[in-house]
Amino acid sequence: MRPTKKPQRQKKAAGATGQPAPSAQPARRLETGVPRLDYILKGGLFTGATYLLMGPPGSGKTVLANHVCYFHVGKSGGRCVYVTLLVESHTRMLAHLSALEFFRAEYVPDRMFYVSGYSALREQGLEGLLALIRRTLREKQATMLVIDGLESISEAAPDVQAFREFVHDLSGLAGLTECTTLLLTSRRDRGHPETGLVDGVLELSDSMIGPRAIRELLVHKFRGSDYLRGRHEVEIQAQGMSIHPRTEIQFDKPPASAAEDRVRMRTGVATLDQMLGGGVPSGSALALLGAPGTGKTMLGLSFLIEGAKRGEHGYYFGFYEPPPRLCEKVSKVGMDLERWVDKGLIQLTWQPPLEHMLDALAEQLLELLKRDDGKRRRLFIDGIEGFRAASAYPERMPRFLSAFTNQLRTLDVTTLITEELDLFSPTIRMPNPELANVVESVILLRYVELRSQLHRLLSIMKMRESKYDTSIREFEITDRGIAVASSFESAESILTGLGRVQGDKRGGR
Amino acid sequence: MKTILVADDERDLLTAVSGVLQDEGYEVIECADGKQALELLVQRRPDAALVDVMMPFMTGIELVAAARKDSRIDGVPIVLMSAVDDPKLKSGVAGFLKKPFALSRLLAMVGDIVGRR
Repeated sequence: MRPTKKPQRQKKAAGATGQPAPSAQPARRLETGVPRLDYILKGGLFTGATYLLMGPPGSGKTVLANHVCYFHVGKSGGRCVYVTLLVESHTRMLAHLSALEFFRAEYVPDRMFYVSGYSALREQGLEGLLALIRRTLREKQATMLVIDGLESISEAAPDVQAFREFVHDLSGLAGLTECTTLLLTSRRDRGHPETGLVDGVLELSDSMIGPRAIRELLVHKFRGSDYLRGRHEVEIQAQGMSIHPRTEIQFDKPPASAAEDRVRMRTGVATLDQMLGGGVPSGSALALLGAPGTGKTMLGLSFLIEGAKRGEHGYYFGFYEPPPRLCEKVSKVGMDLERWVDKGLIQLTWQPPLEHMLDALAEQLLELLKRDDGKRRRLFIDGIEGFRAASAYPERMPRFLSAFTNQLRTLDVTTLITEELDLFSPTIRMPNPELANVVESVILLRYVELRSQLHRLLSIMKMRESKYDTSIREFEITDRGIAVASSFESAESILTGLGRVQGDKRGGR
Repeated sequence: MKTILVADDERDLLTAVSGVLQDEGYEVIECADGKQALELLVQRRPDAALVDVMMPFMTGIELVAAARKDSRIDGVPIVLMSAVDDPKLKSGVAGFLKKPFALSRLLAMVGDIVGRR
């Protein structure tokens, strides 16, 4: 009869002696140094684990692997062995890497050792290559190994089983020597045998979405830890690689409450503040909807200037008007924006209309706000369409906006966001209808034609959990700022943009 | 005919350098790791050796150190080749070539060393 294992009883017995029960040492994590990759992996790679990094040529595998290696050498004093197999030559690779900020020529060759495994593979097969790797790791006392060009090994293997054994042996060697191993392959099919043998599978992609080329990272598998699933934007810049986790998955569990007590934040337009019941509720988001030229930017900047007068920090984040033009424009209506910018109370961030990445923009803005530990911070996002234009997947916008505004609430930031409506349209069509759902308040700015005159109108369309003035008011932008007048009682149907004087069936024209 | 040992683990570079030297009438001995290069230095005593710095089993630096301690081969001029320019790679060797290099520079250096210019 075969003996039966009784782990429960053994554990109890160990406890009964007063000795601690045997336990496994928790696996150590290794920082990658790639911005936000450790966040996606919820703590970094596991020391001594083997990871497969898949992706087509040009997707950034070599940059990512080298970025991790150089950071590992610099941060932990580790030693890396980088084995190449019929990929870019070392000369060319180092020449390309030398343009990146993480590269340190002084690490080569003592701590960053590049070696070609191709001759060993060609002449001695998989066993010869494994011997070369084993010996080099020992000689260099390596704590990290990269094999760049795993597909060459797969192609040189006599059969699938031999290749599986090679990866298995390599993984065993990595675990035994605590040498964290990255296997780079240009294959993208997760059905290949190596994916089942490694501790984690990360995929880099480089695809065309419309006219844009988008690099993304996707973690398929990561043993021993939770991780942020789905695709995340990847950028390769002078600093090396950086990854931007999807905003909606990053902030999917916002804390229940914010830190600051709720007050009303004045807008700088007294009548509007009265309509709002004292101002915009702090820590909330307000959408300013309106056609071009209706005064959205003026109102948003008035909100920031009012805060600056009270010593509150304000942030402008816009896409269309560079700061000097913005200052000049508002100075004509009596707003001295430049003064508050010079005093450091208002910061203007302009994103020129180039190709941006949605999550990188959100991240940039959130990091800017997190660096400021001041109270009652105000934010004015001039043009939510700037975010939409940056999104490779517009269908993400509802969840993105929800997560993004939630995060702003968590940071106690009071936010005004503009949304541009059609200039000539009797109906109101929001390009981002989800915006109205994720904000607490909505203000509509409109032109109305009445008796051959164009008037600017303002109305509060929504204000969650708060009383507000439902009247429609005319407002003017004068050389002394914004003035909201009395209600537009003499006209009706004005939200259509074509007002009608009461009793006049022909309309106001 | 002058004999040159070329040691580099990167096949493309090994093939290119060997080919150019052969075209110029040199006899070339090829190898892809440092340990084998040291053995070939002893066995064949070439007129010069072009040696990569980062190679399996024995680096170019270790090879130079070992050769200088071995009276059988301490007179063989060795040129180190590396993608990284480091002053310490230039001491105790007959020459240093930072990759990538012009073939004319390679041939001029080898020619000077073996007295064929």
